[in-house]
Amino acid sequence: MRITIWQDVRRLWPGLLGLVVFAIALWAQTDALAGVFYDDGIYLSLARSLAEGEGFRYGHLPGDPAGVRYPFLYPYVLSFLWRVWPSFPANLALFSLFDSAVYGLSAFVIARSVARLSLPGLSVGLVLVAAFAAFPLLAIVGVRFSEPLFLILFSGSLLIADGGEATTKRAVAAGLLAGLATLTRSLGLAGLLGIAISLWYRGARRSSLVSLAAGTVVILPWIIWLLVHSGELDPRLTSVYGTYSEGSGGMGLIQFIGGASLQVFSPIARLLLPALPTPLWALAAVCVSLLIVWGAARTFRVLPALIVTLGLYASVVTVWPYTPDRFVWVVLPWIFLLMAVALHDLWTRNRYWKLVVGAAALVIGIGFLPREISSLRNRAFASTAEGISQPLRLLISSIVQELPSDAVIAGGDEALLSLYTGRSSVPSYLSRLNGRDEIPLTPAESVHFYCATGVTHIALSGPGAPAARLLQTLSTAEVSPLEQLFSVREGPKLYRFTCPD
Amino acid sequence: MPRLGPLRAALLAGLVALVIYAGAFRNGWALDDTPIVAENPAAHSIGAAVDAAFEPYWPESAGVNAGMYRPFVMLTYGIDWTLSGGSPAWFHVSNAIMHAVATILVVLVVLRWFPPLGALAAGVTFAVHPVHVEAVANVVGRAEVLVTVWILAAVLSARRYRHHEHNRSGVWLVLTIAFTLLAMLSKEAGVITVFVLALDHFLDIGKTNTRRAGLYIYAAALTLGWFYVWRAIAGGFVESTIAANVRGLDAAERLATALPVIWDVTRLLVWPFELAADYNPMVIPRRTELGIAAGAAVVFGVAVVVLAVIVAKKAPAITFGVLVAVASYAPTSNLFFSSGVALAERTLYLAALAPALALGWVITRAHSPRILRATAVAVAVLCTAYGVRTFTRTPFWKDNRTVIVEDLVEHPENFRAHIRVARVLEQLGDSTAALGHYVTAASIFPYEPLIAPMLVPLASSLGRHQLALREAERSLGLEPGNPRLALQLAGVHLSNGDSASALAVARSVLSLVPDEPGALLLYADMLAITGAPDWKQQLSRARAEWLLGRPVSATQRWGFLLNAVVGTGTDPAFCAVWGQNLGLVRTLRSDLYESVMEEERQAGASCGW
Repeated sequence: MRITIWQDVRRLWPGLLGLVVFAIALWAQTDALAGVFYDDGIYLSLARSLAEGEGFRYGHLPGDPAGVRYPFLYPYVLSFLWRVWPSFPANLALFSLFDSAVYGLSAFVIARSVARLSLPGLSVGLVLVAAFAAFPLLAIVGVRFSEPLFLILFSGSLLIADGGEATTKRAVAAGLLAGLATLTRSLGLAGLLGIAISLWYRGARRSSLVSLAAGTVVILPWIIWLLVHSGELDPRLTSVYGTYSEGSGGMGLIQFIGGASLQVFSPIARLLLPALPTPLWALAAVCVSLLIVWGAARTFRVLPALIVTLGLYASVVTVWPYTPDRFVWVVLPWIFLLMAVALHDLWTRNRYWKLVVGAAALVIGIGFLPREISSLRNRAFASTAEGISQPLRLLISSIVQELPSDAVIAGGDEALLSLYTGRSSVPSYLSRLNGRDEIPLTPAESVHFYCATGVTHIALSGPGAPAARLLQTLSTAEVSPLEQLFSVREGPKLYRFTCPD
Repeated sequence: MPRLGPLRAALLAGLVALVIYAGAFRNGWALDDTPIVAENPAAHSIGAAVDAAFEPYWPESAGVNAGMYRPFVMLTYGIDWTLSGGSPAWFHVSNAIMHAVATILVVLVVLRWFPPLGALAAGVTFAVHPVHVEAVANVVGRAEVLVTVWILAAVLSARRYRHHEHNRSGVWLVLTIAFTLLAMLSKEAGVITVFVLALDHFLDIGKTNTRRAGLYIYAAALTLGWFYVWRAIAGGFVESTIAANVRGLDAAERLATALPVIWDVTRLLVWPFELAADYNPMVIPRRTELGIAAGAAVVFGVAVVVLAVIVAKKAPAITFGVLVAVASYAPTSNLFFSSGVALAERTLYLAALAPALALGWVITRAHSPRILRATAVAVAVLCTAYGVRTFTRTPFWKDNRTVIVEDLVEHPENFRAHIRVARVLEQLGDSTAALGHYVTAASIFPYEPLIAPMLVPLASSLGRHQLALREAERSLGLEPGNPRLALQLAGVHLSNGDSASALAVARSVLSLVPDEPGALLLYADMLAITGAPDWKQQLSRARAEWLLGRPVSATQRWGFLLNAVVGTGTDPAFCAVWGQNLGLVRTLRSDLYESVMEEERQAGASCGW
C-alpha cells in the first residue's frame, strides 16, 4: 500500500505545531539590546564569566562576586554557546536560536501529551497556538530569558511523572528533569515537590521518594554553592543580587504569607478580558480564575503531578514578593489548556451550559483577539524592549567612545552596560526590603556605595529610571558629586561622579 | 568482459569525472579565488577557518557583502591549504575529487530507477557535462559541488532511514539531518534539500515505511534555524550585489529579463557547447517589457514541470531530475526575487541531473539488444562531445589573465569583460586604452552607475573633462540619491572650477535623501569648500554623525554647534540662514540636547519669531 506523508499529518501534528511555534519564536526575536529587562543581562553576564573561565560570577560587578541569585543552568547553557561563538553581540543570534528551538520543542512536548485530556484535536491545536503565540510570551521569548528552557524541563518532568505506571525509572527521570528545572528557575522546586506529592498520593511512595532524591541530587551542587558563597556580597547589593532569603529583608513566614497578593490569575484576566466596568471586570476575572480551577479539577485524574505542581506553583507566586506576571506567562500554555478542558467539560453537559461556554468564548474572543492581532501585526510585543534600547544605545556609544576602559559605571541596566561597553558596572539605584516594602537607600548611602565600589560615571537611561530622583537630588546639591557630560531632553544623561572628600 | 555491477558503475563514473578534469590541476587562482581563498587568512588554516565559522563567506577585506554564509566550504579551504601549503594545484585536485564523489553519488541515487548501465550513462553524462567546468575548474566553484554532494548523500541516507526496519534507523535519521545541515553550510541553495528529500519520498513507490515522515519536521526546523543564522551573519540579501541585468527593476521588469533566461538554461543543459564566464549585459540583455520569448518561456517551463509530474509513475527518474533541476535553479532564477546573477553556469551544477537522468532513462528504455546498442552509441557520442568540450574549456579558468582575455574575446558584448580588461590595463599603466574599455563598457550597458567611479577619475586625469562630466552626470542620473556618485560629480565640478554647481549637486542630493549621512557629509564638505558659515557645516556633520549612530561624536560637535550658534548672535543674516536650516537644527533639538532648545528659544526671540 502506498502511504504518503500527508497521511501522517494526524500523527505528526505535535511536530508541526512545534515547527510553527519555532518559526514564530524566531520571528519574535527583537533587535533590542540584550539585557533591557535586567535579568537577561545578568544571565548573559554570568554566561560570559563562565565562558571566559572566571566561574559563576557576576563579571560586570567590581570584584566579580559569586552569583547566588540566579540558578546556574541557563547561564551554563549560554556559556557553552558563548564558547562556540565568542563574539558578542553577534552571538546573540545563536542564543536566540537556542531559545526559539527549545520553545518549539516545548510546544511539541505539550502537544504530544494533550491526547490524555480528551479534547477535540483541532481546538487543542488552536489553543496551543494561541498560547504559544500570545504576545506576553513572545515578549519573553524575544529576549534572553530562561523561560523557554524552564518550560521544557518543567513540562517534561511533569509529563514523565504523569506518563503511566509509577516505575522507579520514570520517577528518576521525572525527578532529574524537575531538578534541572529548579536549576533553571528556583520555582522549579514546585515541580519537584508536586511530582513527589502526586506519586505519594497515587500510592507509589517509593517512587515518590526516589523522584525527590533524584531531584535533590541535581540541585545539591547549587545548594552547596549557595551555602559557601552567600554572605560574600556587599550587603547593599543583596536586594538585587543576593539569595532570595538575603533579599527578603528578614521577613518571617507569617509576615511573608500574610502580605500575599491573591491576584495570581490577574495577568490572565488582563490578557483575556475586554475593557469592562470595574465590578463587571472583577466578576469576569473571578470567572476566569474559576474556569482555571475547574479545568484543573477535571484534569487532576489524568495529570495529577501537573495539577499538584501548578497548585504549588500558584501558591508560591501568590506569596512571592514580586508581580506575578512573568511567573504566570511561562505556564500560560498549561493554563490555556486547563481553561479549554473546563470549557469543553461544560459544553458537553447541557444546552444551558453551551450558552454559558459560548458567551465565555465570545468575551474572551473580544478581549484577547484584538490585542493579540494588533500586537502581532505591529510587533508591539517587542516595542518595550526596543523602546528601552534606544536611550541605552546612546549611552553605550558614549561610554565606549569617551570614557576610559577602567571607568566604573553606575546605571539602571548595569549588566547590559557592562556587556556592551566592557566597563565594570554597578546598579545606580539601590534599595532594601523591609518586609514587603522597598526602601531606597538615602542619597548619602548611595554616594557611599558609589565611592566604595569605585564608581567614576553614572548613566541614566531616562527621566523615568529608578535612579532619576536620586541623581536629581545629587546634582542639585550644594556641592554636587556629579558633573553632567551630556543630557538628552526626555532621554539619557551621562554624569561624571567624583567621590566627595 | 566483466559484468557491470552497481558499485563498478559508480566507481567507473567517478573515475571519468576525475580524469576529465586532470587538465584543471595546472590551473591557478582565477577571479573570486583570489579574495576568497588566496588572500583570505581564514582559508589558510583549519584553525582560522573554524574561528571564522560565524563569519560571512566573503572576507571583510574584500569589501563585498554578498549575503553568503558557507563555513563548511571555508573549512575545506583551510584543510586544503594545510595539506598543500597553499598550492592551487592541490585545490584543483581536491575539487576534482569532490566532483568524482558527486558523480558516484549520482549513480548511487539513480540506481533505484536504472540498471547499472543506465546509471553509468547518467553518471558519465553528469561527470563530463560542460556546464560543470566553472564549478569544478574554478576553486570557489567548490561550493556548488559540495552542496550537491550533501544533498545527494541526504537522499541516500533518507532512503535507508525510510526503509530501515530496525532500531538503528535513528542513525540514518541523524545522518540525513547532518547532511542537510552540511548542504546549507556549503551553500545557501542547500535549503532545497528538504524539498529534494520529499520529492524522492514521493517517488518512492510502494516501499515507504509509514512512520518516517517526521524527518521533514526536523529538516524543516533545521532549515528555519539556518535561515535565522544566515540572516544574522550574512545580513540577508544585499541590494548592491544584485545582478546588473535586473538591478533597479520592478517585479514585472525583472520577470521580463528573467523569463527568457529559461531558454539559455535549457540550452546550457542540453547543448552546452557555448559557454561564458558570466552572463552580465549584454550576454543576457536587460529587458523591461515582457516579450514573446518570455511568454514562450512560461509555457515551456510550465509544460516541463507538468510533464515531469505526469510521468512520475512511469519515469520517476525523469521527474526527479527535472524537478531537482527546477528547484536548484529557482533560487538564482530572479523569478521570485532578485539574485546576484542573471545566470551562472556553476549554479546549474545540480541541475545537470536533468540531462544526465534523461540519457540514463533513454538507455534503460531500450528493449532489444539492437536498440540498446544504437542508443548506447548515441549516448557515448554525445558524452564524448561533452567530454571534449569540458576538457577544452577547463584551461579557460587557468588564471585571471586567461579568464579576462578569453572572456573578452568570446563575449565582447559583456560590459563586465571590458571593465575587467580596463582595470588590468590601468594597473599596467596604459590609461588611454583602459579609458577606451571603460567607455565601451558604459556604451554597452549605460544602466550601470558603478562604471563612472572608475571611468571619471581616469578621464579627469587624462584631461578629458567633458567626458568625465558627462559620465558623472549620467551615473548620478541613474541613482540620483547616491551620495558617492554625487560626490564624484561635485568633484568634477570643483576640478572644473565650478563650486556653485558642486554645492548645487550636494544640495539636490540632500533634498532627495535628507536622512542619508553620506549626503549630509557631502553637503558639509561642499559648504566648507564654498566658504559657507562654519556653524552650518557643523550642523550638517553633527546630524550625519547622529544618523550614523555616533552620538558621542555629536557631543563633541555640540561644542562646535553651541559656539556657532552663540557666535552668530542676533545678526539678521544669521536669522535668515537659521530659518533656512531650521530643519537640521530641529533634528538635533528634538533628539539631542536641551541646550540647543534653549539657544533656539533665545535666537527665536532675538529674531522676532
